This record gives sequence, structure tokens and C-alpha cells, in this order.
Amino acid sequence: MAANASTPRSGSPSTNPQGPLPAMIQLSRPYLTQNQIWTLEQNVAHTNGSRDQQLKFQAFSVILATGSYLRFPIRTMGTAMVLFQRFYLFNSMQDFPSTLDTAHACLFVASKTEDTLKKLKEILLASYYIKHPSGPDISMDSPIIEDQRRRLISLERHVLETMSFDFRVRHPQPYIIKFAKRLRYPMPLAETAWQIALDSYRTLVPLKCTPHAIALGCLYIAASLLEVNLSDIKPEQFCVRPLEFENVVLELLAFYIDWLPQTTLFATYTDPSKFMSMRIELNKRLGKYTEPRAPALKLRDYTMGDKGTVRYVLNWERERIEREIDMH
Amino acid sequence: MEEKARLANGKKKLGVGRRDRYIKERKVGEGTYAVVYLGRQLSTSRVVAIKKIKVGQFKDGLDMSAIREIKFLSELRHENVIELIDVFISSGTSRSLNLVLEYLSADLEMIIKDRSVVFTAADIKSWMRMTFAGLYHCHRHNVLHRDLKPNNLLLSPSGHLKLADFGLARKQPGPYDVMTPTVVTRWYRAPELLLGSKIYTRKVDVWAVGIIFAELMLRTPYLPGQTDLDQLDLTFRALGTPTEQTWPGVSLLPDFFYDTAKTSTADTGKKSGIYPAPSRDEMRMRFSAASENALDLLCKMTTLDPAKRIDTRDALGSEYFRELPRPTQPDLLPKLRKKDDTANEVKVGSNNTGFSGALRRREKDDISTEAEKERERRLAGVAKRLF
Repeated sequence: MAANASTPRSGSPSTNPQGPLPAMIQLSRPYLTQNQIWTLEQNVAHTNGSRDQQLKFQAFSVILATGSYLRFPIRTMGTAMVLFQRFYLFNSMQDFPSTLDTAHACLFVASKTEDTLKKLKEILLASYYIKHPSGPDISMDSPIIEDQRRRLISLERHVLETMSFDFRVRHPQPYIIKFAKRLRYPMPLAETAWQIALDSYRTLVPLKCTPHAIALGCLYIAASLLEVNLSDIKPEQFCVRPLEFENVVLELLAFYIDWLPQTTLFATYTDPSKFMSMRIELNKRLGKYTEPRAPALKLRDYTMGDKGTVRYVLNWERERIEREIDMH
Repeated sequence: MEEKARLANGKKKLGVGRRDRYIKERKVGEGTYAVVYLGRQLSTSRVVAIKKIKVGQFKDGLDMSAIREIKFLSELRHENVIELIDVFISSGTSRSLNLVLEYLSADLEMIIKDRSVVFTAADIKSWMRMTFAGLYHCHRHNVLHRDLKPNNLLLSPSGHLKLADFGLARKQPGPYDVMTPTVVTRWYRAPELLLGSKIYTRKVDVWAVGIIFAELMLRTPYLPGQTDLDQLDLTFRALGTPTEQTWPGVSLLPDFFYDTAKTSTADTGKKSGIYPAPSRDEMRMRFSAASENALDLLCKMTTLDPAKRIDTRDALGSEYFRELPRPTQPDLLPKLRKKDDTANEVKVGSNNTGFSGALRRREKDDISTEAEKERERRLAGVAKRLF
């Protein structure tokens, strides 16, 4: 039995359930490169980019509304939003058509990983009341909730598998405070940067860049908006690679230019031209950015579990795994 | 290869990586949310504990403690912290989540309870040192264990002590983050938790280790309270009731109801729950075998005010660990007298609770019901707001 473990399995699982199984190592990828994201997006074959973006924003507003109703801290909502984006990079909309359900599932998982535990039913009930503010009251045992709950339990699994059981959390906010103090920036500037950080959860930036780079990018944009001296921001001094920093800033600016009315910053800054001129300014002195080489990624095969055992590893364990594979 | 085939014969296999790497041998225990199997890594014949998380039966999906265990153990690597070797999802219809953990055959509670095992001051020091080393590692990485008790301090066959069961662990909270005070098994629960404080620090773990230290010296639980209230009374009887002088801010804690203005004589103590702090002589009587430095450390660890309580770093640097006798080498520490557990014949504990290695939980149910109640209460609040 074990002797032919290394040969690919030929029979179907039903005929040989105990049989040897192919290798399936799911490496956790906390960060993705732009190229990887592009290939993933192509795989998903988005038919209508802006419609998808609208669905995304809808889901984000559900996450934010439900989260603030339940009085979750912002980091829980942020994690949920990042999870949601990751989910639809690795899974297609055809397979998981209900973005609302996914949004709930992401919020639920985020509430667990961020130690702000709520029962699933509470989340669903809160969401229901936001959707039907004047509508009929329902109890916690109502069939509507129960039905949703069942769907969400299985969806939770997909969310967990997509995140490869990697529960490490990263948020730019602590760095914003620390960097702002170090740069001796005034309070209102730090607050603006904080708001920009909230908007950053709606972009793919958290999937691509490290939190301290995001924090510095947020501070940079806030400083240029408030017309404070920018020359103090030297990425190297904050252990941020200049290219990564520029990448964060450009990405965030692009987001503000395209989607300003959807952002939290819209309350104070309604004119996209400010962001435009910032982008032009930055582009002038920009070096050529070359992506680090990284393997192309495929969509997650959510039937993978039926085919064999899946092993989940964090990135830093990679070396060990490769050594093990070499051993055989 | 033949040997592998022989081992795998007739036993349920779990395919991992390039080839089937683990086999489950038999079930050794069952907790509220997981079943623990004894298994073996095929390539190395290393004995492991495979914790199969029950999924699908609960109305709230994957259990929080499983998430916590994966979250913290996958990043902590230390000689004195249990190793999480693998996380995987097995094939088949159940598709259950499996955690492969280091298998450890005994725990400190079994050693304390087994009257036939004799241990010396040097042995106690060795266990304490290893506990602190593991805990220091956790705290340095901003992880609170929140469930330290002898039963969760596991011992490897080579004598190394390892912290286990991170099912209640969490990250050091930021300022203004509230947490539930119903953590840690009651006997090892720090006074700030008993008084219902929702904001606490890693010092709760230090308190628990202090109580374990006392238990090691006494060979019997130091403060075995029957109920939470009893626990509070017992704690104060043993260590004195805190006042605003000894613990600034104590009277602001939610469950503090003592009238400390009253004189604290033995007489009124019975009624009001106000006891004087024990004198040094009293402590010497209580722990007759302890050296002065050991008593010093114990008193610092069981200081009621968490702000004044010693931290793991200072504890590791304290005189107690520097004075003679030196801590015993791990492999020379006393062990339970039982059969060899490295070969095929793995014998796990002889007590009737069944499983005694990784992840046995004695009072766990207690906690989960309390946590449950706490959730119910919060839920009721939400429902009120909703309707």
C-alpha cells in the first residue's frame, strides 16, 4: 500500500478510499506580487470588471455596517475585507455566487481570528436588521437565519482553506501611530493617515505590501493632502524598501482617483484632482519598478479535499518541506 | 519501504506531503472539541499526537480554541513549548482538520499526584526554570497563555517540560481592549480575574505559575476553591485582602465588595472576608522546605497587585535560580514509573480518565460553560438592543 504511494493515483476515490494519494501542500502566501494577482484575475475570467468592483463595494459596506453594529473594532472589519478580496482571487464568482454570504463568512472568520468572537447567529441577525430596518422582527431561531447559518458553516471552511489556516494578522495602524510620533506630525495628520489606512483595506495593497510600508504610504498621502513638509519621509529610515513604498502610494492614489465617492476620505476631500496632481508629481521622479520573480498561482481547487489530504504550511516552513521532499 | 508497508497494514493512514507520512494508531482521548489519537510519523517512527478537530457538529463552525492553537503554536518554536508539527485536512467525506502535535507522555499533575515519586528542591527548580523559559518565550512574542496549570505542563520522555494547550491563548491586547475574565482554571486564577477585571496583562500567567510553584512544594493544590467566591475568599485568607494601599485601584474592580475600612482582625475576618497579609514567619511555616530565595520569588509571583507582581524576565533572573542547588538536568528528573513509551507499546497513563498526554482537560468543561454563560449574557444584551 505504502509502496506505491509516490505513483499517481489512477482509480477514483470511491473505489479506493484508503489508497495512496497525491501530494498536496498548500503553502500559505501572505503576500502576492502584482503579476500573481494578474494571473489569478485572468483565471477567474471576470466578465465585467466594474460590476465585480460594485459587488465588492457592496460586500464591504455590508461588512462595515454589520461590524459597526456589533461594535467590532476596525481591525476585525479590515481583516474581513482583506479576507474577502483574497477569497475572490483564489475562488471564482461562478463557484461562489453569493458575495453577501461570503462577506458574512469573512466577517465571522475575522471575528474569530481577531479575538472579538461573536456567535454566527448574532452576526446574521445584525445583518438582517441592517437590511430590514423597519421590516418584520425575527427571532434567533427563525428559519431564515438557520438556513443562512448552515450555508455559512460550509463557506467558513472555504474561507479558512483559502487563507491556508494562516492566522497571522497585520495591520498598518500601530505603525501609523509610531511613525507619526517619530516624524513629529500633528494629530490631525495622523488621523487623516488613519482614515487612509481604513481605505487601504478596500484595495489589494494589504495583499501585496507589508503593514509598515502601508503605514508610511498613508502618512505620505496625508502629509501631501495637508501640505506638510514631505522631505522627512525617507523610506529607508523606516526599514521600508523605496519601491514598495512608491507602490503603496501609487496604488492608493489610483484607488482614490477611480473610486473617491466610495471612500471614507470622501467626507473631507471631494476633489480627485488633488490626488491626480500627486500622482503626476510622483510619476516624474519614479524609478522603473521590476517585480520580484514569483511562481504563477492557480485558482484554488475547492474539491481538493475530496481528492486527498491537504497539508497547510506557513511560508517560513517552506525550507523544511523542500528538504523533506528532497529526502524522498 | 517494507517496514512502512507493514506498519501501514490494516491501519488508517493519512496521506501528507509526498507520501503517507502519519498513521493513526489508536484513540487516546476525547475533549469537547477534538479527538486525540496516538500516531506515528512513518519516515522517522516518531510518536506524535494527532488531534482531530470535530467539525460540523457545532453551530459556530470551527472552534475558537482550534484557531487559537494553530495561530499561536505555528509561530512559537521553543524547547519548552509544545511543537505543532503539521496542520492538514484529511481526505474523505469528513474532511476533518488534523493537528499533528508532539506527543508527550506525562504531565506535571501526574507527577505531583503520584505519591511514589519523590522529588527534591533541585527538581522543583528545574521544572520552574523550564516553565519560565517557555512562558518567557510566549510573553516575549506577546502571547498570553491564560490556562496554565500542572495539567497543561507536559513532560517529554527526556524530561523536558513543555507548555501545552493554547486553546485559551490570545495576543497581548492593545490598550482599551476588553477580554473576558473567565479564563484560567479556577485554582490558578489570579485575583484581578476573580475580581472581574476585563483588562489584564501577562501577569495572570505569572500568578498561575506561582500557584504551581507552591503546589510543587506542598504536593497538594495550594488554593483549591470550590466556587469562584470561595476561591476569592481562599486567596485572600492565604495572602491577605488587598486594600487601596497595597493595590491601588482595587476597589474600582467590578466584583470588589470588601469594606476595607474595617479593622482587619481575625474576628471580623470571618464575616467580612478581610484578612491580614501573612507574615514572613507564617510563609516559612507554610513552606517549610523552601529556601529564603524561593520564598522571595513565590511572594513576588503571588503579589496581589498585578502591577507589582514580578514578570517572567525578572523571575528568570532572580536569586532563586542562581543559588544552590542547581536545577536538575532534565534527563535526571524524576519520572513516572511506567513502561517504556518509545517503542511500539505505547502506554498512556494508568488513570481512569483515559488519556493523559497532550490535551487532557480536566476543568475545561467548567470553563467552557462559564464562557458560554458569558456569551449568553452578552447575547441577551444584544437581543435587547435589537428588539
